[in-house]
Amino acid sequence: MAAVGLVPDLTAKAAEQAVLGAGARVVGCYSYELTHDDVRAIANANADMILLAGGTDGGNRRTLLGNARILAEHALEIPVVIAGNRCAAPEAEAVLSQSYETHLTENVMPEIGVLNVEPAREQIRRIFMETIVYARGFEKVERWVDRLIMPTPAAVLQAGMVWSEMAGDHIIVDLGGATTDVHSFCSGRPQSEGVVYRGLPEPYAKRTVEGDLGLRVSAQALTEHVGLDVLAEEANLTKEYLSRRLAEIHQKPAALSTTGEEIRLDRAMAVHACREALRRHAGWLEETYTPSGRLWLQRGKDLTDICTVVFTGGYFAHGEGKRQDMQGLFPSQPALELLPRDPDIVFDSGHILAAAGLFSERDRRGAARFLKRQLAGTST
Amino acid sequence: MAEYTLILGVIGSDVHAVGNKVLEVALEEAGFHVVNLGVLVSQQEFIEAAIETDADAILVTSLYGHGEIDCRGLKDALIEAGLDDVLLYIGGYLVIGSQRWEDVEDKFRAMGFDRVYPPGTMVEDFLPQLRADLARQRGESH
Repeated sequence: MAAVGLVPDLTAKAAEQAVLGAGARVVGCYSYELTHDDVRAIANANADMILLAGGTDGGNRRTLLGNARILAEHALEIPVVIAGNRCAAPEAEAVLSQSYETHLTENVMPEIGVLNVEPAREQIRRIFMETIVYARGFEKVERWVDRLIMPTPAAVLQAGMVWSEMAGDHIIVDLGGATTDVHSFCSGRPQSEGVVYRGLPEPYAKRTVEGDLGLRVSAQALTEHVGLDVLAEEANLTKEYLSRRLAEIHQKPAALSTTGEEIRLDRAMAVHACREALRRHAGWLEETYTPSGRLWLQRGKDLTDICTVVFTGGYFAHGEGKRQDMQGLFPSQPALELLPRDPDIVFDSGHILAAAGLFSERDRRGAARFLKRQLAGTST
Repeated sequence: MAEYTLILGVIGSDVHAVGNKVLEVALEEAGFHVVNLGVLVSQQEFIEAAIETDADAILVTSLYGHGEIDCRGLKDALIEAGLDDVLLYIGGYLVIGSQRWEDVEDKFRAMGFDRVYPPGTMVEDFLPQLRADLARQRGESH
């Protein structure tokens, strides 16, 4: 999906958060006025849907309407969800409805400092199930499934919501071949005195996706981030072997690791991918001095009080995840990065999170029992 | 919905929250749509909020004497963001020491503020000016 808003830190960020929270992949996040090149880029990225936001209710109208007109000139034949300034949205819909399937929903940011992504998320999920799966030729799956189809990340997020009702605030780290997703379920508001929150409020269920962190398709990007030398040393491999293995992974991303070297490399990459994805997801503190003394500014979510972190994905389902590796991702002392402190580590060893999320749409209590049985026994 | 939208906030590293709240309540009672950003507000936050809300005026307060430093470049940044016709007001303890008010006012006018108010200004003192400025600005831009 493409997410379109006005100011990068306000409605564009809210739009992106709504898209991520619906389980979609963000192919582009656009601020201010869309250009013809931007719309062509959205088309070239094969976006399945556009979320068009911009302006608080009663606020800026010009950008939403201007962006609707630019989109209308291109007619991309994909659905557009309009979640911008309530006072301009119907007009934007009228402009777009000639050439697009349009869906009008509540503003993702009705006022400065108020995030309202749930209606847009719901709308996106509904369109995915009713339209996108068919447009993509997925109707064949109907031979095997009768009703429920969900994008995997949305199902994992849903499982997390069900789990949070039972187990409270927690985090899910979903380590994949191409991306590493982090889902946090908590308010994340400042925990201590002398800390002032800045920026857009964060959603209770927040998803971030790191497209450069993964064990297969993104192995090269991850290595560039960590450094070839560092990764080789940590995995006790030569640099020559590492370069060769990365080329192999690039050729055959579906291949599993079998030799000792291959398994050591996966382990080192898994630690780095999870660490970096968690750091990008977590909020942080900045020190500031005022005439009334020192203050801390918090941006993003404070995750320090979270007691449980669930790790999911093929790597953990294959039993490769080492508890001490994952414990090492979290600080035991207060730090400027607001990561959990010494949380319980839970492995989704049965790889059931996505299935449980999907199942909960049919039977929420059953899914809760299923999650409890699968996850509760594995915690430290 | 109110006719005019005002952005309100205490600029810089200033944490004086009481006057800010009083202003918010008084301006809302006077019929404005007030977007209060609170304390510790950066120039960027004023600008971003003004863009999203299509604000008519930005009301900056500063009560700790560093106003001159905090506000440097604010008008230029507003012009750069396409907000040159948004009214810009400031009030409070703007400088340290006993400087002549006329000099302080001249200094902030030169920095691009449309109105500069000394400590102790009551809401009813500046409301007529604010209303007149807003009406004039809207008349000019239409």
